[in-house]
Amino acid sequence: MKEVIVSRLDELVGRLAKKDEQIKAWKDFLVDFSSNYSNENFTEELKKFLSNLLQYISGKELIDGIEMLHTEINGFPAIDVYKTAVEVFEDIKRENQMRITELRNILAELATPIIHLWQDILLVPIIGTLDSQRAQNMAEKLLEATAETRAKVVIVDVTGVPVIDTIVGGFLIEMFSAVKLLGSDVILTGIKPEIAHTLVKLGVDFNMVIIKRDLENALKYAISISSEDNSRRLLRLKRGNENEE
Amino acid sequence: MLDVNPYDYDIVLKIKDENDIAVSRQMAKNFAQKNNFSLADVTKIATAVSELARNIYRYAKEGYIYIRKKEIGSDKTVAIEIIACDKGPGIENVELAVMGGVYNIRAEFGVGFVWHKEAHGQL
Amino acid sequence: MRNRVVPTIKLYDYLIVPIQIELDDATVEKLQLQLLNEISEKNIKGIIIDVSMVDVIDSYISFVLSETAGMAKAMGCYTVICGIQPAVALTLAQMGVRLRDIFTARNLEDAIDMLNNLE
Repeated sequence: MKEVIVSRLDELVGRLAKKDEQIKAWKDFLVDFSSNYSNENFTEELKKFLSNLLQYISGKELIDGIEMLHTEINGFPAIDVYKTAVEVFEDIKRENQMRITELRNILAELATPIIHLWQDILLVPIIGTLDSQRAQNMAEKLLEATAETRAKVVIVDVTGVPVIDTIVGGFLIEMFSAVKLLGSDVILTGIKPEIAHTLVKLGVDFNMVIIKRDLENALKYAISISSEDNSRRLLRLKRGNENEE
Repeated sequence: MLDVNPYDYDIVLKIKDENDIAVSRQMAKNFAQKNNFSLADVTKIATAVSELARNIYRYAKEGYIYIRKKEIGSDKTVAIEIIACDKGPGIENVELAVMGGVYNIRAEFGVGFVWHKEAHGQL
Repeated sequence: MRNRVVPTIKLYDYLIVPIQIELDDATVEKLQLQLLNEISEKNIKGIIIDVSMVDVIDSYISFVLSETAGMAKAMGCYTVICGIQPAVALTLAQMGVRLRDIFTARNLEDAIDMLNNLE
């Protein structure tokens, strides 16, 4: 079989592909294939050759190509090649999945920086749309950071959030309650007119947190409460508790 | 009646004693930790099992909790499946029983009920 | 002392309650009785419950804690909880659990500071 492939190499490759790089890829594949065919660990090698080849051609082209080789070359192990190809596709798929997860993690980290802005003050600017996975990651990270830095105040800036619907509103409320359970205060800022409009229409109520007009005011207020003694804070908390009841 | 084959599950917990609530909580926590769930997910899973175990103990006197690891979706996200089975009185108002929409109930009226929560972890 | 499920520390007029055991339902109910007794016997004005060692707080445990705080309040005693683990805080918040009648503090110092300012 090796001889057949070698002798008809150019003719076969010409029928397998039209583009230069694909021709080269098929050629390499066939050469590697025929020269290693009798090796003991051929299956392992084949996997490598196939993944090289698949960088240049699509799955469909591979199937057509193997079919052609099967009819043209007596004894071409099409089934073995298909089997190995499936394994290669599985590997590629797994790799892609890993890459996606990795990118998602990177994105989550980039999109929600937690800035230790001032003594006892954390700033969390939220940028982009929040889905449940992202909101969950963000909440986990924020809580860890709050506990770790023992921050008194967390400023959450939602200027970069395009829409806050009931679901996102719910996430935020849960996150705020959790921060409060750690004994820290939350200041919310950056609510745009259209968001304020939908919030009220949807009945999302951020009464449990302090809301400030812009980051400047939020920061001023945060500094004032982070330096206040506990008596004033308690007054506020007590008032809050009464409001809830 | 719901078909659950105990052999399909990694953990089977029998709940019939008040102590079993704390035990099941601990078992669920260890299982989730072993499967590399994040600390937040571990806590949620343990809390969910704790609630389920208590419901069994309170309302049905005894029952079982089944726990297994599961891969869901095309990307094989690792999840934990928790099923609580008992012969309790059933739920009159399922809506009321579902907390915060986090849980997904498959109700089997009159023969107990199944809580089914899938927590997603990254591996 | 008889029937103490959690060893407590009296500091000034405050009672520090570091919970370092697995809280099952029976234990948390016993703890409630223990704390109420200690409030009246030791003339306690504030309770600090430190849960930094507790990995799981479910709805019933938090309910009993809130209930205890309500009872303590009726006896003229404030309740502060401190050291809630981030994951526990998130779980409680996502279950929609409210800790009524309980003040939350970041840590033990913060809690004592809070109680000092409560009079």
